Amino acid sequence: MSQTRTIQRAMSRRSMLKLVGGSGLALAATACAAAAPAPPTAAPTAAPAVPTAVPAKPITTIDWWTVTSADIGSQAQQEALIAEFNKLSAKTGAMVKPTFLPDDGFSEKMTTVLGTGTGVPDVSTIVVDSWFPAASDLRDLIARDKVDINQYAKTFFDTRCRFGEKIIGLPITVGATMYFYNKAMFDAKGLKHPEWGYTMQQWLADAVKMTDRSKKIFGAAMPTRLWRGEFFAFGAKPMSDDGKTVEGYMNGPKTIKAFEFMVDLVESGAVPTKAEFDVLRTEGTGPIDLFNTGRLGFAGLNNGQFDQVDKAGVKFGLIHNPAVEGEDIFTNAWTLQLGIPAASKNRDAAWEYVKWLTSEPGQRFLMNNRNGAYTPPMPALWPDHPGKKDPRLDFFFKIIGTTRHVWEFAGKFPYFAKATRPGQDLYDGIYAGKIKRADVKSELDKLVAPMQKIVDEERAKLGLK
Amino acid sequence: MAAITSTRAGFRGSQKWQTRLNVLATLAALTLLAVLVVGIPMGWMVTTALKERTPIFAWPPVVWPNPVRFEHFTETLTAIPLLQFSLNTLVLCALSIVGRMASCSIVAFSFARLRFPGRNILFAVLLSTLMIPSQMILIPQFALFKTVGLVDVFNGYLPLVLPSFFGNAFFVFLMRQYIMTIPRELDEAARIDGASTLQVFWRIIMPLCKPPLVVITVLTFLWTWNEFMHPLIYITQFDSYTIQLGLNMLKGRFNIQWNLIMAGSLMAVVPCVVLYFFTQRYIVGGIASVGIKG
Repeated sequence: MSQTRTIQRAMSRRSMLKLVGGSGLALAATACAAAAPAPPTAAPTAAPAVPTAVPAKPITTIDWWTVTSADIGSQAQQEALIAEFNKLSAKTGAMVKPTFLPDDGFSEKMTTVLGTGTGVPDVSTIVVDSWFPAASDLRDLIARDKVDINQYAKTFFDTRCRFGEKIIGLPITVGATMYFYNKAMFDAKGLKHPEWGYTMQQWLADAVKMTDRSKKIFGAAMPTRLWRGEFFAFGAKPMSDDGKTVEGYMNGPKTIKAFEFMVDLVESGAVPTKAEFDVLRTEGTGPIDLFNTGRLGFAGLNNGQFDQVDKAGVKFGLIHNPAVEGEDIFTNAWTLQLGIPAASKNRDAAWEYVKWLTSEPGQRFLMNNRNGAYTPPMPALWPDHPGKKDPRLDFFFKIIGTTRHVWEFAGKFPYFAKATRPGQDLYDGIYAGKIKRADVKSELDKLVAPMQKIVDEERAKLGLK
Repeated sequence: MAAITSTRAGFRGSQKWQTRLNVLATLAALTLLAVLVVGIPMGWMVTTALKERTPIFAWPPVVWPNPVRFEHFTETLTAIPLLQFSLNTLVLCALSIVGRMASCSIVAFSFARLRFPGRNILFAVLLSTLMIPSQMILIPQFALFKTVGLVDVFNGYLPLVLPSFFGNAFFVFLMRQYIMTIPRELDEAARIDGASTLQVFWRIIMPLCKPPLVVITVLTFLWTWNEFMHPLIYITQFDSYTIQLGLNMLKGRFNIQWNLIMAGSLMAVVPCVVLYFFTQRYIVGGIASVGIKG
């Protein structure tokens, strides 16, 4: 009780309630004024640039959910893009209002709204497999407006924009993971720089030579997750080409080799610890900060990261994902599908934006406004790329044009990510040093039944025989 | 004989001192460990905020930033409107605190003082909700708010604040336990003087409940200030973002600006530290005084 009395002396009931209530009301009033919806930043300030004789359409404002990224650009760059589109609003009948989301929460937010079917954006990238069924089929609009889908790089379009018979989006940007190698580290050890055809064994041997664990310098990094290009490079597949059978594939001889190589890589000591790697890698790419600090010989990074490495002052070369003799070279290459959720109430207006952004004017604007950091999915525009004099861009075009893409296989099956998820634990176990080479086969055997169950269930849900 | 007794006593005395010293040394070591566990990440945050990007992950670690980059703070404020986001978050905190204090206190009073059928069962049901992970109710709650048309109200703030006005199992438990430590004689005396139940609650119980109310205030502030997922789901206007959403805007898919994130985080930590500084004696008192009577 004495403690209570002390507190009573310090603050009377009335003063406390006044304080809490008063500050709450004051803050509420301030924020309502401050947080009132601002007009879209990209709203056109000038009269629409269309002939006055054309009757203006009623304008629909559409909501575009986006993130700031190396793929599409900074907030300012995207706002400039939207301003460009909004100039056409009298003609298109659409105005875009962007919602910039944190990259970390984008998937969670989309999954929530698509799951409930409410509160969906009108336009978004439809990048996660589980979202595909919730995307609008664009074939009728493509046919109506005679959009030529052959203008897009075929592999990218076919692997990411199609979902069964449907077309669920049109592509923006192309990117690919390449192996960046630190030239100074190679030279310091007197190693020959990698050339086209560079193999897994060469990679492992060079990585070991560059590693100095006492200085926390590592030769290479592990692939960021299971079933990246490094696995397909062995000819491995988690299931049959028709996507029905797991037995003989997930535990097949080529998959076993791929997993055994990962054990070798971990046991070589040439890669950072799992803890370091988990913290420092970015989504889908290797630990760029380690590479930029000169502590990593090889890092799987992408074309959107050239300038970051340049800024860090690291002299680097590029090579494809290491290859395996007798097998194709594989690359993790991607495009982003810009689509319209089926629950959007503004499908026609949303289509106007999707159509414009994925057409030549929109793509050319993005390409020129990004100082060469953006590559459109239209090969016809590549000769005009602002960064065309950069030999690294040539290498990037060679990679995406001549190697096999991971998505050629993975993109065929909307259940690929879900079906292969059980294997991630095994991969993590290998990285943590808990799985030995001799155990790989039996561990893979154990995965077959749970993966087959998922495949069967997902195919049944999708109505696939 | 007297000499032997005195020697024994001296020996026992020195043993006692030795034991005390051991206890003190253990406590000091544990305290030092706790300080290191908290202090090293905090120190890393401070130095990272002031470093250029490349030395952040250098090995051996570069402890002192050279050159010191204070401009990371201004760069962070330029990159995202952190002050606006802070103000938005303060509004949410204030409204959530008001809601939690109002609802939890009255529910806790009912459980502690009123007799009604099924009281214990209801209390058990309430406590069992503590075991439901918040992620599990995220989607159903969103669907519910969307169905009743509340999602976009006040820039998405209403669905964030409204649940606070319907209590919180942990805080109800906390307050109920505290109220049960207040002698019933006080209520009875007030009733003899003609006070109604509400008057007993408002005039007798509430003035004595400041310690748990302060705990509710501080914890609600911290939870709301640091909340990421719910604001992410409900807020769609960039200008209405909370501070955690804002800080996450600095983390790109292929590029994490560690020094700016740390500068922003450092600024974001300040209100929490200030609040704790001014309320720590209430928090300790509030939590310690709960559970004396079950």
